[in-house]
Amino acid sequence: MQLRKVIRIRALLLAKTGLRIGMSRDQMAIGDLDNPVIRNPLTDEPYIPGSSLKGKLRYLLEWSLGGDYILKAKDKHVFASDNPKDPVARIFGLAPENDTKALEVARERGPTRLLVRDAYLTPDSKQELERTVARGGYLTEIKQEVFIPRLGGNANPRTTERVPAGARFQVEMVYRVLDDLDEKYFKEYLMRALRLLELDGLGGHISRGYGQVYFLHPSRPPEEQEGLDLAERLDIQEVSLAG
Amino acid sequence: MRATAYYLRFRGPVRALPRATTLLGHLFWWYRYTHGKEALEGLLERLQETDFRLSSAFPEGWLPRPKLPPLQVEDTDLRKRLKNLSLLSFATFQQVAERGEEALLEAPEAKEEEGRLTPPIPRRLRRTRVGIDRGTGGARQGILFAQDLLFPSGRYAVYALGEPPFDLKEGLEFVGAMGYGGLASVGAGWFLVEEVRPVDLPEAREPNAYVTLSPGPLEGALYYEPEPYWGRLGGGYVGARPFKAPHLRAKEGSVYRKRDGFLLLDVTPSEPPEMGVRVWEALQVFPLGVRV
Repeated sequence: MQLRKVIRIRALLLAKTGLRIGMSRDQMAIGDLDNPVIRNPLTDEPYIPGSSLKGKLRYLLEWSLGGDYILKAKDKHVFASDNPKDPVARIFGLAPENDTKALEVARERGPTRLLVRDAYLTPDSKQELERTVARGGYLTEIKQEVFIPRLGGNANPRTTERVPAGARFQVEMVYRVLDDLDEKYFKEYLMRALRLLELDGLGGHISRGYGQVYFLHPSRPPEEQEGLDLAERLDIQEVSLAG
Repeated sequence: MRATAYYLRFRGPVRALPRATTLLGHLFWWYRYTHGKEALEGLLERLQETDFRLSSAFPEGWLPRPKLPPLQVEDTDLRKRLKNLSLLSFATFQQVAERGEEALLEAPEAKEEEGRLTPPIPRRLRRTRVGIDRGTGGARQGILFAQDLLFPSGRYAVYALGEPPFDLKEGLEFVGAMGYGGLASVGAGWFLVEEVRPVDLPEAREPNAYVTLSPGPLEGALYYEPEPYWGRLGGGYVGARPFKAPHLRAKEGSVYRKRDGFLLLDVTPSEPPEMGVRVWEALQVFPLGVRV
């Protein structure tokens, strides 16, 4: 087993609608938001954790493949395939069971192929979002929502924080190629998961309009990219490692 | 002492700041994956004969406090301030290397609140994660967990002595791109090698002992802080039985009488990750001279 090359995928992730990746807090002060978004503790800027992006890609790919990925994920969090060529386990990784067979399969499968970095706001997007400060958020919008009780009519308000539509994040992923199958899986499965993400969404409350995202090539004008195939909107670079 | 500094800048969070032993492990896996198994075995055989040493990562301009006999201080506030010093600026390190802990009394790191010199401390974030229920698409019951992450600011330096047995810059760049330590596949441990240049590390002029900038062996340690360590297997051996054999070692800042301590410690677990495989941990003294 030898690392042949690394494929680096770079893109801008455009939030077409408000994006919300929440965080929980250990404590809450009077007047705090009910549902804050996750922020970088150094800069206080909202960001997209790599785990959120990677987890959603995996989930969408599993649903598109169906079968055991859904039916056998009941007892455990995810379906643990005993096939070393299983595309989901290869691309996204799988913690093996503590038995000899599972460890043999894990070793034959090799390391997780996909690394997904945390995605931070682009500098120009951050500048655009500065104007949210005047309305109470910092680079975010504070969205008032109301729950309507089915009996009686008193609206119950709640505040939700989200990153406004139009925000752009710098996405970077790394895909490790150890053999021909990895090459095939990159085109067949990882690209499929990325396409599904654009059709589905990222973060919370997707069924209520949040989280629609669209990938943009980082070095081409955005207005020229609407409607282009996803492969043309990603900056894909291959780094050979043949020693 | 003249060494080569590799300045790293983290592009995101990290589970733990890089330490020499783990960093070497990452570099050896990189070598294994890019040059093959036999090449790595040859490298490990040659390693003991080389004068190559690699340090842990420290904030730029800071080094670990030498673990010398502590000063007896009556003033409680000062005693606590001294006790909490784990990193020293180059200038203070130089003074301590020459004069011992006495020099800390005049150090800007030990001053009261105003005007105190402090190293950059990484910010902590407890990140909550949920599992997506494959049936419903919502958060899955029972799979909610928290992970602590560090967000380092500024540059960190890793120092190297002697001739590296491989292209160290290329290796570090690869480790940075793949991610150092835990949670690398979800974005943690990503760093860039920003600059490589020679640097003069502070040390005593006529040393009779040596502070290590890397975790070292207990053998030969004069003043040291022991650390029980139970490392995890890396690279292709990440799995359900993740641990190497536990061992005791001396922390960075420990003081040795001799400068050339090096131990390739066998930490093969009772059930090896693969038939016939041995697992090694490189414990080295990265020596900076002190007078004791």
